Amino acid sequence: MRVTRISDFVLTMLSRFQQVDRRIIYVLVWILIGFPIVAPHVGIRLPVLPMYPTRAARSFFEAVESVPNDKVILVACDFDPGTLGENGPQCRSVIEHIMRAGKKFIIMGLDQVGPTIAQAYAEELAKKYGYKYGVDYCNFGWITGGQMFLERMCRDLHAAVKQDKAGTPLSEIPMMKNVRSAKDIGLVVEFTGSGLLPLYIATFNAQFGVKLAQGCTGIIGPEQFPYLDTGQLSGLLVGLKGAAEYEEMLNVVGGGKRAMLPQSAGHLLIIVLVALGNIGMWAARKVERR
Amino acid sequence: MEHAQLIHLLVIGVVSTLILYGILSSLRGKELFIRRLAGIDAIEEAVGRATEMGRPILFSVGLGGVEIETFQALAIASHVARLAARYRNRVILPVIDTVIYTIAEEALREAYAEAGHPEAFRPEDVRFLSGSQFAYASGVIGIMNREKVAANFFFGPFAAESLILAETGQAIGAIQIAGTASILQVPFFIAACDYTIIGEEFYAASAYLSRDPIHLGSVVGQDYSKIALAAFTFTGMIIATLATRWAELNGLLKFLTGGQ
Amino acid sequence: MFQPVENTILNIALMILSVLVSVVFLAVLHNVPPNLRMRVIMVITFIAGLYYPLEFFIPDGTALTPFRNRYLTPFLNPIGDAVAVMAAFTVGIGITNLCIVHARNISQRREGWGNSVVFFISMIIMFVVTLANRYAPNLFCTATAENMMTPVQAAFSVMFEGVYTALNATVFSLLAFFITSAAYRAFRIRTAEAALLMVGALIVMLGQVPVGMWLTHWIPDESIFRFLRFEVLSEWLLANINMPAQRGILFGVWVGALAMALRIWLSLERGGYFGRQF
Repeated sequence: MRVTRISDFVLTMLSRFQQVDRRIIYVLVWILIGFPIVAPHVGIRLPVLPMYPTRAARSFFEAVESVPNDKVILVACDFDPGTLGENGPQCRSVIEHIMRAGKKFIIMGLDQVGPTIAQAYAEELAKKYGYKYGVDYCNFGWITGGQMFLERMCRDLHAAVKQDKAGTPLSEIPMMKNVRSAKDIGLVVEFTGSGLLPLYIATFNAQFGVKLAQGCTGIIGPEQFPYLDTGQLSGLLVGLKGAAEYEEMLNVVGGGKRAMLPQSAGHLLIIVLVALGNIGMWAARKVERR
Repeated sequence: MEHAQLIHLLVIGVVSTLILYGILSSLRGKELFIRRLAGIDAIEEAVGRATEMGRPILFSVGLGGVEIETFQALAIASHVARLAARYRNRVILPVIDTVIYTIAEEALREAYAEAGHPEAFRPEDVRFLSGSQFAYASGVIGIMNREKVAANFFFGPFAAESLILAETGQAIGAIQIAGTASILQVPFFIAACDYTIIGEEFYAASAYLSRDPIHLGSVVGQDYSKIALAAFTFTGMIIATLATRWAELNGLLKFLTGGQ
Repeated sequence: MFQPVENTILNIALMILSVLVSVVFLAVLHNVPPNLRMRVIMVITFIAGLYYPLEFFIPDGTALTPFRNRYLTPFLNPIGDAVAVMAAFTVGIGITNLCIVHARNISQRREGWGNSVVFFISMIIMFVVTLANRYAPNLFCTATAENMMTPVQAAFSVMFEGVYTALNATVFSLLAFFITSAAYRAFRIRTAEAALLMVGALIVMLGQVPVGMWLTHWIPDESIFRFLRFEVLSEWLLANINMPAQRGILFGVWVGALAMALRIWLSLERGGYFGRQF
């Protein structure tokens, strides 16, 4: 096409933005998300952005605080390594809060790997807060059987689970002596990247009135809001931002807060690319009309 | 609440009655109308395109096990297989669940037989890949690239791997049709697929495809049910609002909310 | 009710007997005329599907409640166990299918047969290491200190946490790249509705990250303009616009699922594996 004016030249250049090669996009993503992660390790200091905990995160915090001392918290780790990036920091910060508040808790999960990961967090934090396995917390491990097994747990924990992850009978675990059913559980906190929440709502919450709180990945976050509104969920942490909000309330710096800068960079890149794409489309239309 | 309250029984009773009424009306010969579903119309076009290019079709039934959404996906897979079988084209169906694997293999085998080409069915085209979400996704995108599929169908329950599958299919230039009741994955499918069937259109697909009176009547009954549920919700909203002024209505409100 | 019996011989005998009964029943079913077979399946489907609705829907505080409490609810756990046992029969089928497909690739030297060799090697290694870690962690030597691992435990840790966990997270991380390229390609403002969608998406995206919070943090928290802060506006959009829409779609989805469940339960479902009308 013969360019007759500078404006035509500019429009032609701009129209190229509507078809940026996807490989360029992938490289940009890699740089913008990778640099803030690597930078602190090579001595480059980056700004810390402010965090303002939302209502859903504050409700989660209050739900943990308000669990009576004679009840335990069930930490359901229904996530796998794929969603570790989001559910991991959430799980870790909530376990730290539980220990800080002096509550007893049980780790379990409908996924194979989740309970193992949570156990590692618990063991690391137990040294800081003086928690002892079997007395202050225990781990049931991977639970199979879905909703039917959760119902059985609610009715008779000892008959359903029988032994912990290491094979120790529940009757020999000191903290489990007075924990027999859902009536002895004050709160269920679930961490997941899949739609498993309805299983817990249908069992713990609907049938036995146990409070629920959830930490979920960003992708399924919007799906959980109806449950928050009806009161079936007492609190909600969505994605890495939820983990960062919780860390803000605990006044610690963990995986959530550290990931906020790369996440922000990624979001801004998407916004800029979408804007450029639309500018390119508009410019191309102008060129075609001329 | 370990068991249902009376209100739950009433609501389910009304909804089920309306659905069965729709089915019975249709069986008695009543003419019923379903609006056009562009995504379902495009299935035949997609199968034809893949056949012209001489490349296979990939049909993913998602992450579900033995559940309603997966059965619906398999019903659509049978339809796609019948179309593909006419031209002796392959339908590769990777699954994540071993129980569904057995059902899927039987469904495709019967579909090819009904189309008159049982010899065109290859048992190895129905594959159990893995029980793990992302291992399954890796396997599917590997199949897409190695087999160079020309058409992708994503029907069933999906989670985070939906965009991985759809975007990979987009990159290899396959025509893609998706349908899921997992509403959170719908935006990803809309962004990366050529046609997307949303929510309960997914459940209406079998009625649209087969024009079977039972299916058509069921879809119409579902529409009646939704009107009834909307009326019930609106009534409850009015009562809840009035109950803030007149405490006598609290008893009725408690009944309507199942005692909670 | 249905407590496990601690008698190995009796358990094995019961297992063999149940398998034999099942085989005989299926063989008889296979050899009867199709009409009769279909009727038997319809009756079994109806009875099997009747249990859960009866157990759940018979309300509290009625004349029927003793019936439910005495004859239905106690069977809830055993039936759940039975369903899990039936599903477990299919566990081996998946592995068998994988092995057949990949063995065929190798024997026929199809394109990419090397990947099939890698499949067998990694499956065998993972299988052996997992079994060894579970049943013989001290196979080669015992751990000499509290925080040390034996060679078997170290191998399991490398395979599971180093390889499997890392690979899972890696594939999930592809989403970051794909979301960016999909958003760039798909989000084009061609209509007024698309423009509205874009504005909403922009607000929600900025409300999810500290950058957005920082952009509007100067608006005082106590002022009447607090709603203009990105995180507040984002939360409002998600809770008041997104949520009703999601609920509306969910209504339709669940009614559709109920309809299909009814059709399957009453054997009204047609097509494919449900068989044709007789």
